[in-house]
Amino acid sequence: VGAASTVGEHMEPEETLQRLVHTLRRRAGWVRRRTLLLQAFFIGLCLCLGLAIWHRFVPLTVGQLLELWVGAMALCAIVALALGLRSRVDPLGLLIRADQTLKLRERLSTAYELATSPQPHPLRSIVLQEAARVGRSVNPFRVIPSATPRTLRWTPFLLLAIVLALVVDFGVLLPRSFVGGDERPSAALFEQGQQLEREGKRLEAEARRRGLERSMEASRRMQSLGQRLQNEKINEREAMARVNSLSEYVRNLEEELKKMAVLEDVSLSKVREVMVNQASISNEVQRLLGILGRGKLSPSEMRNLQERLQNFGQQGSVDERLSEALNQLRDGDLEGAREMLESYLLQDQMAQDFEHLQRAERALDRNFEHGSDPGEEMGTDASSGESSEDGDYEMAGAPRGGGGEFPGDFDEGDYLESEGMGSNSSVGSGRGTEQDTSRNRLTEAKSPASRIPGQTGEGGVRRSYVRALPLKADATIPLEDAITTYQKRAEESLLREEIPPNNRDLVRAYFLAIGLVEEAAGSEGKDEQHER
Amino acid sequence: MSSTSDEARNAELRRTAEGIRDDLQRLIHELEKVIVGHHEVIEGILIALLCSGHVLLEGVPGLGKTLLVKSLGRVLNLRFSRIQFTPDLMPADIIGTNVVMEDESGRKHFEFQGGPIFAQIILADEINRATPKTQSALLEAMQEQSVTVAGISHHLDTPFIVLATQNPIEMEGTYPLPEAQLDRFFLKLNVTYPSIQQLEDIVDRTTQHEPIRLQNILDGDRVDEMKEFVRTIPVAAHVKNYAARLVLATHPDSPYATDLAKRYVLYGSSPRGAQSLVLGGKMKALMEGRYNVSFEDLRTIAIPSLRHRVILNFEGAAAGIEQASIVAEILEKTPEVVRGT
Repeated sequence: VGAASTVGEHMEPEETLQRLVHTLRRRAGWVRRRTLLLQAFFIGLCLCLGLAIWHRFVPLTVGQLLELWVGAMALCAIVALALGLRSRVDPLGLLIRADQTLKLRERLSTAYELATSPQPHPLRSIVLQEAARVGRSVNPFRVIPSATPRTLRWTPFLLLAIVLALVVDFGVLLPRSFVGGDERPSAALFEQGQQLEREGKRLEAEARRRGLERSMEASRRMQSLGQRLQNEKINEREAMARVNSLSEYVRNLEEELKKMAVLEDVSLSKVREVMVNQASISNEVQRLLGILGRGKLSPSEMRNLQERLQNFGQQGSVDERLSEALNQLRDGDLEGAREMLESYLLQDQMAQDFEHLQRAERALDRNFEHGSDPGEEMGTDASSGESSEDGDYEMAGAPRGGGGEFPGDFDEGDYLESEGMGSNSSVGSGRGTEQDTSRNRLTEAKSPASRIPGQTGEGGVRRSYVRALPLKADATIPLEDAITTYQKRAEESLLREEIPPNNRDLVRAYFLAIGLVEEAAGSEGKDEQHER
Repeated sequence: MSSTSDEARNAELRRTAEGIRDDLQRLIHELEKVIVGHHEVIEGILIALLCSGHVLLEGVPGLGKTLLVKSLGRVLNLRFSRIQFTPDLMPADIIGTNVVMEDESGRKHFEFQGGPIFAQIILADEINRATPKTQSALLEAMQEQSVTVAGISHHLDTPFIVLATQNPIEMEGTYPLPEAQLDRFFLKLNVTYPSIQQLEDIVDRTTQHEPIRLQNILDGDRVDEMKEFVRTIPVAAHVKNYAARLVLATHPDSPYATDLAKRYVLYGSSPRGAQSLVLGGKMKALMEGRYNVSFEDLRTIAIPSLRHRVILNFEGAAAGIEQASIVAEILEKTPEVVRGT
């Protein structure tokens, strides 16, 4: 400025004024661009804060976040530069500002106006000289100081807010309604989840050791649910109810495992296989007898009969009587072969009846040996026999009866695959001949109603999917209490002959099979009397 | 060659301006020999004189208003006339009338006998004591510098200035000046009571020595030259804009009006107010040795130029609002520069 002043002293007043205008315009442009850039920086910071907050809800990678930040800042800078380059500063406005700032009493602005006016003015020269004189001392930095935008005072707070947005978990600060569904559960739920997972692992190990697949599956589900409780936000009340339900479920499952351990030696599947085979052979033998009953057979029919009897041998069902019948058939003794097959069928029927009796006896023995709740007994469907159904078994006493459901309380969508869920629920309450035994059973029937269905042994598997059973069933009376009444009424029905005569055996066999009724002679005698 | 002539012309202009300043300074100095204090009043009267305006002096009796005007007449070597306004004063008593005259042949004819208005410095003493009819006799003389009697206009000599005094105390038998009359006064100056030092000085000057005889400083021609030069002072567009906005701000319906103006003003200043502002600004600039009008010049002259042109409404009059306070608020709230002007 000092050098310019020295040079300006030898210039024409108008030239000095123009030079001053040029200097002020350059200074104003620089200050304006600088201000715009600073404002752009501030706006960029605001955008960065917005992105940081967005990052909290929609997580981005560090690279993406940095790219967006850099992009936002660059965009703001470009816009600021474009605006700065586009802006034009009015020279008269600058001179007015200089007049006001330096208290030059409008000398510069009036002179500029006279200098740029096409109309002559008698005092133009004097006014220009006066303006040039005072203009030499004009300091553009004083006229247009480089002020920092006031908004930049908030920059430290913005930076702090960005850091906080990246670090602080808003879930702690915000109300629960603002927290998303993937938030962490409360500490209590987390602890319960851990406990449930531990129990599930322990149970799985136990089930594996005992080779109980269904229990293993159930224990894995427990672990899964425990993990969900640890990781997901669930309604606390609902979750606590679920945890309580599962805790009870675990206890019941443990009891069942203990009981199952006693029955490990029962390999019903093999029995079932034999029975199925036996039933098919009996049917086939009956058909052969029907053919033989027609009298004289053609040679082709004879060959067919021989082949069928040979097939029995190939299936492994070799019986002496069947071999003898085949030999007689080859000899052409049709009558002998027929007698031999009828003998075979008779013995087979006797064997089945004997098997029924043995199974009922075994069931009663188990009750006496373990003194367990009759409602929890394992039962077979005696009415249909092992060969009539899938051979599925279910633990009696489930809250819903024969639904084959787990008593546990599981979340919606959290399906629990249960093995061996039978369609035939066997209610488990019996009444023995000895009064003390009945009393024991009734006393034991006071135990909780929720029970765990289980499978006795390996066999056909049917998977049932259940969802969200309540902690307690709708029933308020324990099954053990209800079954006594139910049993009593069934017996009364038998006595009142409300059961059709041809079905009485079926009903009796059912109660014999489930072990709740002894094959009491008195009772049978009564029935016979009624029949008569 | 042309630059040399320009330089010579510039030097001549500078000399003229400096001569005006010197003359004004001498004039003020001479007046201050008899007038103690009242520097602003003296300066205002000189401004009005060089701007072809008239001044309304307001002050309680005995503050030297009449003395000031009489002294001014003496130092300017202008014809001075004093009109004492009374309730029974008639217009013809001011402007004159046609009287029957008899010539040497005995023939009678009407001849116009000019009144006291036919002077160059008129002291209209206690102007508000005359009736409005008489007050309005000054209207044509103040604006047109001529009087019309019986259909014949009689021009007044220049320079012509009316210095009217009025008593601010409301008394019986006073008639407020009509708005049209007020608007014709270039400035309204308040003659305030002197301070204790000034009062002591007044006592000394008037009781110890003989009255001071004032010298002639200027004459009418010189005053006319000065008036002509004053009008050449340039005014920048944004300064004129500021003056216009100040005047418009006195109007209650104007977008520039301030709160006080909106509430208490009935009528704002006429365009004569803007003329007064700019001309007064030019005189202020010249007196300060500048060749351009500044915002500060306008601000200095704004109150005496505008306050008597602001007519208060009933609420303002009832509330005792001073017009000067309204103008002061306008000065405070009106920005000097507005974007786009």
